[in-house]
Amino acid sequence: MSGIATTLPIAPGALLHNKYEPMQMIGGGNFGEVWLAKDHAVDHTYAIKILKPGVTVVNQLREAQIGHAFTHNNLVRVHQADVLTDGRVIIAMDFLPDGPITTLANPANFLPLPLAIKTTVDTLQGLEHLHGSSFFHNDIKPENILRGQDGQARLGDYGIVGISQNGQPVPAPARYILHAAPETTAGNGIEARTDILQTGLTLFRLLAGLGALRAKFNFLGQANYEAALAAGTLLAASDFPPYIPNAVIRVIKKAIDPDPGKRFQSALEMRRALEKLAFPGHWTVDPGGAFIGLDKRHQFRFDSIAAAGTNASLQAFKRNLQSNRETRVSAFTKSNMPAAEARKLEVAFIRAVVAGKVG
Amino acid sequence: MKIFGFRSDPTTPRYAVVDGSTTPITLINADSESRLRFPADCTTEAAQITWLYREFERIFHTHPDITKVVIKKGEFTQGDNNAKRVASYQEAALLLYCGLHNKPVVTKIYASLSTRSAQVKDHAIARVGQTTRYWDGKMADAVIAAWWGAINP
Repeated sequence: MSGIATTLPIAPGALLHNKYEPMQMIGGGNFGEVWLAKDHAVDHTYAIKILKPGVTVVNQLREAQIGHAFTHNNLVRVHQADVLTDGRVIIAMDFLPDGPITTLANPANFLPLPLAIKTTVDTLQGLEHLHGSSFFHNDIKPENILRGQDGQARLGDYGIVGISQNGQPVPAPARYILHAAPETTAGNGIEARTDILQTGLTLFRLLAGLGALRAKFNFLGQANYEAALAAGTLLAASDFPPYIPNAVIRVIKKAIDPDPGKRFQSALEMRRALEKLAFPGHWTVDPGGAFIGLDKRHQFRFDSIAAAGTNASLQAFKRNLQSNRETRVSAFTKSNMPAAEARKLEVAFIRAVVAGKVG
Repeated sequence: MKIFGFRSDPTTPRYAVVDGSTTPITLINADSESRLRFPADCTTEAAQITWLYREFERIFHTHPDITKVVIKKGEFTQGDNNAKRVASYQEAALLLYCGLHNKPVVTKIYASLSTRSAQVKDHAIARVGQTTRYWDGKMADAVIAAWWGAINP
């Protein structure tokens, strides 16, 4: 295999392995760097992952071999891998210009409900394909879910995949601490249901805030965080904002149950649970930080106003998207009530929009 | 020798996978998934057919040794309606999958499957077996289609 000796960092324009022209660094981490690069041999642009030395070439190539083994609409494809003369490995993958799904987060750092559910359904379809061959992804997180060119989500990064001969658990090559299943932390390896738990935590982050688990981790510390996940107490009811419907919360809770036997038993089972759900409305946040509700015909908003003493008032509005006419929603508008009652009314309005009950 | 039998339906298409190498012929998915229910938010024809095509990809990935596909197509009648059109789109999605993946596929009506609508459940039970869940005439159509493929290799 021919090649040229190079050293990190990779410089734009310097030809790697006689064919890759790095154009722009698009990612990096402990593993190495990811560059947008043009392969002059085939005149195609790839995302190339240049792995840091430190593990054997055989182990570095493993990631490429896994990513090359599958062709699926919801999996990132690895096209080829090369070994440089200094032993480092370059992996050429699909370049998906829209980047990770996290780029679609709103200013409050969450994804609107329909997008979060579709992303999860797509991810589960990719997982079904991997699990069908007894491959366990083991690194499911929002940052590893990319946006395909047809609007689909595509799961990538096969750096810590586990491969089983018969679907039975295998040792985890490494673990992403925030999403590690209790049984993985306890040393019992990874399997399809550990991927289910990671998908459940990913869905929670997509909906409640991409940084929601990191904040918990930082607050609790690693030991307490892992203990809470193992005890099933990591996510309390108050961690779920009111724009997340109870049916979705139930899916998340089942996916992250500390007992693998009580989780969804397959990616397909979890996907089917999500596919049963449809919601007429959803909420997002506008650039100014205000909550905006949407359904097919209306946009919704509310104002919570301090009133006398500790009291508050709530004004709820809906705007017809065709006529642009805004009207007050009287059922959810009330003046000068105790703050707790105002908050209850606000939550009821948010939920009513999601359920399509504000006509 | 696995045979895939398919019966379209506007809301819940059915499929049967039989093992034709056993005597009697075995219904492999008797206790597992046999009914495909469109997602709740999958309401347009394009979305439904795309979803169904992806389901075919998944099923054939799960059963890579399926050697033949038999579709119980809609009967020829004087009437036409939207449900029949939608059903034919589903059959077309499977035909396309088979064409692209070099899977032998045929389409059959009752007369060429040696059965009739009124008897298909009994015939399916006698010739192969029945599913433990969602057993009805549509599922029987899928079973009979797969059975026909098994006895006509």
